[in-house]
Amino acid sequence: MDELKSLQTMRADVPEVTPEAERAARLRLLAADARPEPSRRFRPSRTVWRLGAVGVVAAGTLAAVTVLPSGGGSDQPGGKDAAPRLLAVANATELGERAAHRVETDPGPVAGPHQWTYLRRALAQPSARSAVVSADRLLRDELWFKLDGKRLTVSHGKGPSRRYGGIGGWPQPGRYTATDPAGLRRQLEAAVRAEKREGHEVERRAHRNGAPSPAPITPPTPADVFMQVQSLMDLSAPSPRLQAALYRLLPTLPGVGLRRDAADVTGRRGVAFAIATQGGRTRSEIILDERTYRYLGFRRVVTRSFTEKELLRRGEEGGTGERFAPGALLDWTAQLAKGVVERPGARP
Amino acid sequence: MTAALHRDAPPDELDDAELIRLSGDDPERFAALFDRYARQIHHYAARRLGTQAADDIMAETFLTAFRRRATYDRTRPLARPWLYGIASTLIARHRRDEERHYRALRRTGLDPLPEPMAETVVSRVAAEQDERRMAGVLAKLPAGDRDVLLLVAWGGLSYEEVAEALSVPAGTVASRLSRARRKLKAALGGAQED
Repeated sequence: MDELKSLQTMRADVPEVTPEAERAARLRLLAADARPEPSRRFRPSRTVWRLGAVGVVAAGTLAAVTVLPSGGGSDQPGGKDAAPRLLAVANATELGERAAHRVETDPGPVAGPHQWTYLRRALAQPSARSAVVSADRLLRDELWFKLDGKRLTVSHGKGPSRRYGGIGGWPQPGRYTATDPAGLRRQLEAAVRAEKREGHEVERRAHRNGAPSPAPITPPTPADVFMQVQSLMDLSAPSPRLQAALYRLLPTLPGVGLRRDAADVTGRRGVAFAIATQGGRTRSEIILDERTYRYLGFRRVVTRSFTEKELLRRGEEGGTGERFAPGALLDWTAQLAKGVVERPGARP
Repeated sequence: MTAALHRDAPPDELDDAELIRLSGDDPERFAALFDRYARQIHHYAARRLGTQAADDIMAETFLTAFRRRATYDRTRPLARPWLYGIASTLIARHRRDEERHYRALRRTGLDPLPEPMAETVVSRVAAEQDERRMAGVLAKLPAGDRDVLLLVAWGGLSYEEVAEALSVPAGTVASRLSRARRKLKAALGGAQED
């Protein structure tokens, strides 16, 4: 009898690594600090190697714990809280997982029940003659949000605050309770359908006054859902739980991919979830900081030449007839600051 | 020029040393090494310590290797021994648990590896008598001898690879393996143990 062969059968049936454990380990590796330890000039003796390995194990464990480093108290997206250079994400799924993990472990400022969330944004503006936006025409604005259950109150800092609770008008983070991608997608699709019905009703009423027939209501598309997510990120203050769920949902939408070398309107570099929108005429990008994975902004860029009239319904008039060339930007924003304050108009 | 040509080559066409070299400037290349060896490392660690500990050891092995990639000896095209060496060092931190499990298996016939699935545990109740005897040997072996024996039997490494993994001379591997095999053979009813 060969004792080695006997030994080879012992515990041969241990379960294989689960896909979850394998994925988690791979993500830990991909999120690790990419700076290698310096080379050694000599091959260490066995003793040195072992001592060194223990130290390295400790370092590796530390890197694993700090997969997505702390924001250091800053609430500036992409600000000086940036981590050391991390391994580039390989695909949209990894980006979603890292962004979700970041917001779960380091959610940043979160408003209490009676507090307001403050957002400062920058938006590229179109010109008087063209709908194409430019970073040379930059508008900065501020918004304050308070969420009471499902109702969102929005303030511009001056004048009365407006409360939103129904469909349309303003993105409603309080409507979304699901945390699994499929359930959250259903809720977002329901919001898209409701908005389409609302738009259809407006067009139907206009039709009575001589406007063209309303366009038929089409089912929600992945691009519609993507844009719902974008408006939630850009125009509301989703809770960390909802943000994480949105980041995990995005890569599951058909057509969503990863785009490197993205940048927000202020020039901060990022990596983006991207999808073809407007029938493939444009590409929309939700841009995250490439180091911290915090939300940076949004960009919509023309990918196929088209004229404004192509987007009009049959019989509908209007538009300037402007032709948009590939590369032209139709939206470009940046979230500059986020914080918690006690009242609208106050700044963190 | 070679590096430039390799930069765009699919990972499966590159040997481990080249992948590790490229990962210096392009860190995500290292993920290809994980894809090649993670399951092997996990299986080996799971046989020694159970799947839960193996999850951590697999992850930490590659994190450690990633951090140390600048020190990798690039004259060695296969990184497998290097990774098993790192895993062995991590497993050594659990030596007492590992030996306790072998002793329990020897005594009771029930393999106490902490497996998440109840049915797995049940299937281990009827461990063969040979398995109990082998567990008794494994519990008593010096750690270095056990590493050599199990890297060969469970890791599938050659003598040379074990020597590389454990940073010991090939002759030491041979003598440790010979000693461990004699004990194993004796326990299984072969030649008398020394």
